[in-house]
Amino acid sequence: MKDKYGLILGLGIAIAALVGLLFFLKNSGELEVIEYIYLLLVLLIVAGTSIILLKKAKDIKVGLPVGDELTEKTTWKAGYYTYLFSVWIAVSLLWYNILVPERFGVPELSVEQVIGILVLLPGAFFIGLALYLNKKGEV
Amino acid sequence: MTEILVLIVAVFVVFLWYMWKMNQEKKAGFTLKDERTTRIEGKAARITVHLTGFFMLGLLFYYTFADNIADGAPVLETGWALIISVIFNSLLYAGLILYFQRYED
Repeated sequence: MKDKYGLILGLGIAIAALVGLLFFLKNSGELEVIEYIYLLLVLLIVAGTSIILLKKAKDIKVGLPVGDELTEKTTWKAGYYTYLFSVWIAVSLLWYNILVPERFGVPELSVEQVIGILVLLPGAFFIGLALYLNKKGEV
Repeated sequence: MTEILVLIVAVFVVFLWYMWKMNQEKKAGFTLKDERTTRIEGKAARITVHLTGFFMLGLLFYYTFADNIADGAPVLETGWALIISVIFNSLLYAGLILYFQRYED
């Protein structure tokens, strides 16, 4: 029962993200390059989450346990690498903002851009890595 | 500027030295991490990644609130947002590892 509630909640979030994206696209004018990257990352995260949720739904339907030991291990491993990745991304962005705009005359990254990158990039990385490790089947 | 470049080079040198040391230990046949350590680190990192995502979204809401709605509230700068993110990430991860080492099993 708990798995079913989790599944419904996950699907609800994925649908809400897609609806939010549609509203954003409808109300926004010309998009900047970074906004296209954000959109792509959101789509990747929603697609990845949907694949995981559909797999879970299939497992629930045939009566299999949703989280076996391998899945747990792969998400731990993916989480560990994502943690390292997100710390290095934050440090790289800090270095970028200190070194690049002054030298090359490009604009500094704003708070919204930095937070967007720090939420979406590790999210996409985690889902991609978890899916890859699950498919590979060994940890 | 020179100080920053020296700092960046120093961080990379430490990173390379750490990788080299790990490789040497691996070659010598030592187990780098036992199963429990791997499990605890993975669990702590996964929770950290999820919570940091929500924390950053909270920070974004605060930024929007301080910038557009509340007059006089300190507005977050990009550098501070990044530093807060790294500190939150590291402290949460370290705290969770300590917690799981003590209370898991």
